[in-house]
Amino acid sequence: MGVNPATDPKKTTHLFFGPQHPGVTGNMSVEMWFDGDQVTKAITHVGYLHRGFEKLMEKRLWIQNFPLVCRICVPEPDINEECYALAIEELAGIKVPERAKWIRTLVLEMARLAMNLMAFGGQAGTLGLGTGAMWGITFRDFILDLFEELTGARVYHIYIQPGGVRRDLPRGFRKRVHLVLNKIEERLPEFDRLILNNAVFKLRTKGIGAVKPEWIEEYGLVGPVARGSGSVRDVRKDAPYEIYDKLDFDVVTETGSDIYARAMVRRREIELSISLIRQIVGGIPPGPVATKLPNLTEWRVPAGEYYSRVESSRGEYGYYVVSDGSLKPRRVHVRGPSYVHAVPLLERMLIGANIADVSNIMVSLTTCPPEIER
Amino acid sequence: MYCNQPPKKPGDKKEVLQKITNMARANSLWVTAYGTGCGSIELRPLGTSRFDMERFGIAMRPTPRQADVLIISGYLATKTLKRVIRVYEQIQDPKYIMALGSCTINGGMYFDSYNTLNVLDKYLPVDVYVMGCMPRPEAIIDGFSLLMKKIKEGRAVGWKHYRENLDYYRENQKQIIKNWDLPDYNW
Amino acid sequence: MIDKVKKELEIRFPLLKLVREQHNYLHIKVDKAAAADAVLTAKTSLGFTTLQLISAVDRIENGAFQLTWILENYDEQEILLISAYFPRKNCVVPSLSQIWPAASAFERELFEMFGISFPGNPREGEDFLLEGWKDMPPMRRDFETEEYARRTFGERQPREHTDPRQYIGDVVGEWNTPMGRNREEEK
Repeated sequence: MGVNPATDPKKTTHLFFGPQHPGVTGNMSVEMWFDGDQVTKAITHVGYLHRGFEKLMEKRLWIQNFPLVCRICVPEPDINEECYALAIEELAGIKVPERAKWIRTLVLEMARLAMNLMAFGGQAGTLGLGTGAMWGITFRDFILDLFEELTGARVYHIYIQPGGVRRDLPRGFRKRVHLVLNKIEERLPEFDRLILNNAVFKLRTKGIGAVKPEWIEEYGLVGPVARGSGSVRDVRKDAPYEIYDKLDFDVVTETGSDIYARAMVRRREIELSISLIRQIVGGIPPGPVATKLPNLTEWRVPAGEYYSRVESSRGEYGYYVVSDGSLKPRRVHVRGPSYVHAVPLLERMLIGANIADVSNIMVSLTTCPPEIER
Repeated sequence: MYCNQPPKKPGDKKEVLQKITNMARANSLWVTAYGTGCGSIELRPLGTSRFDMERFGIAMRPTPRQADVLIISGYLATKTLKRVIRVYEQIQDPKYIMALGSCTINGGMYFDSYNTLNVLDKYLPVDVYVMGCMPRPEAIIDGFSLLMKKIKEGRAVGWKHYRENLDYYRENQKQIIKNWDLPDYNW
Repeated sequence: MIDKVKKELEIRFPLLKLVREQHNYLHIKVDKAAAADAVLTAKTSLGFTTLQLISAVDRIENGAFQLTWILENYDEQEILLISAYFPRKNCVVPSLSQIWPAASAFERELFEMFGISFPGNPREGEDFLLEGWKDMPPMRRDFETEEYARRTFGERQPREHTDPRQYIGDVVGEWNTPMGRNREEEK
């Protein structure tokens, strides 16, 4: 009486998974109860990376927040800058020059490619296929080199600003983009042979970690998690921002709804990003890259509220920005895709999973804890 | 096993023996795989062939019990501090702490955040700081070579300092961790 | 289309204010008693089946919390924001966690960050982002984060001199103070 059968200490084992564990994505932890080796209950614990960004942003000027927002997601920081800039531009009525839009899209796609390479390789890494993880990170590094040349930094770029980008493309940059893309494309068949056609990978991922299609609306799933279950949700296509309506692409979707399908989505997204970057680099129009902003230390964004959306490699990113017409934002609320993936969905998905598959399932959602806790 | 007394001080070895031991220690630094902050993203390229930290004898270990070095990779949130203390105390002596990023030195850009520590060495004995936000892989390698130099010269004694001034560190830690439920002592 | 949504909502609930209307984007403000009903109506009869976010803004000058539910109608590609002001003192807001499982996490966060209570959420009060927090909920406007950080975490004392020759060599890898300043000698 009074004892939850899922957590009954007589019948279940109580285990803490993370935060110090190589199988956990980032700094988060899952508390689980096992009956035999089946999970009966799981609770996600987050907050290990909580820095109070939303509070700090209320204390800083509009432009000073750009170095803060990019730190919300470490592997793909440009999404945050873009999303925040979109909201400010909407509130302040700033027009972005055409060339800046193209360059922004280029940066976003490069970041997506880098993240997908790491995530696709990392999925293999959790199954002991360390080579895949190493390759993913190595090829990501070449893209970081491009970023370094373009923006001056490897990881946190702070490149996008309201009304454009911080500086123009360096001379010969397009050629070097093509070189890196060629290098990655050459290696893709080997990635397939190593990961997707690997018997171990197939056995450990097919039919495991199912995301039921009806969960997509119930939980609000986005990104590869939703697209691996037959959905075609992609903000790039649904509500095109920047120049995505001018590019030619199809939304990647798979119907397997298991871990393999999600890995396959990421694999095909790599190809998609490469094709998009080629289209963008071929079509960047001439012109200015930024509009002139007023004196930034006294810049007041007109009062208003806006919810801006951007597609990241993990799904839809949203920024709810409230301005009261003062020097600083009144409220910025970040809705990262990992929010629903790592907390309600993971707790639901893990029930009935095998103990050996927990880390595998977790990595297949590509959760990024900083965007949950900020 | 928890016990209430800190372990006895080890007797000083002969100087020559000490030098050889230090040399051996410096050349096989094993790192606990605990990404406490955003700096851990730059630890992963270190493992690849491009930067290749294994040529210095540095390797990632999944558990603190096999490791010598704990890397505090960036800002430390108060919730993580508790876990980091547990991890640090599980590492066997000698153990070293390397802190990455400006935010561990003086709070960096989070100086006014209500949930991140500003001065890390009030809570844990830091042997090497690597500056930058975030430090490049080359900077981390530089930090490791600094740590090696200190170990070889017998100056990386943060772990001894932690043991001798445990009361000071505990007092500071308890100021931050409101619901203190760590065992009183755990070697 | 978004006009239809607006008309439908206008018939059933008195709209206090139209905050923003755009192509496929509607933001309305309703009375606090009608807020939960408006959200449910949008879900059941207007096709806004996905809950994107529950957000709160501290309108301290009005003595109220502005709660905003952000809903998405995927088939029509429409975004609907429904706002309502709830009194700031002992703020109680109806919970939607029975309808959307994802709402539970958002509500737990708002409880922790603003002190807004959502009766009906079975997991209310569980630690989410903070651990053992005893102060005022940190996202309230009257919580001073810088003052709190200074009081709790302290600051590192800056160097007294800016000339490097003044400080190189005074503390070299010695742990002579409990603060354990740890500067490296440049050779």
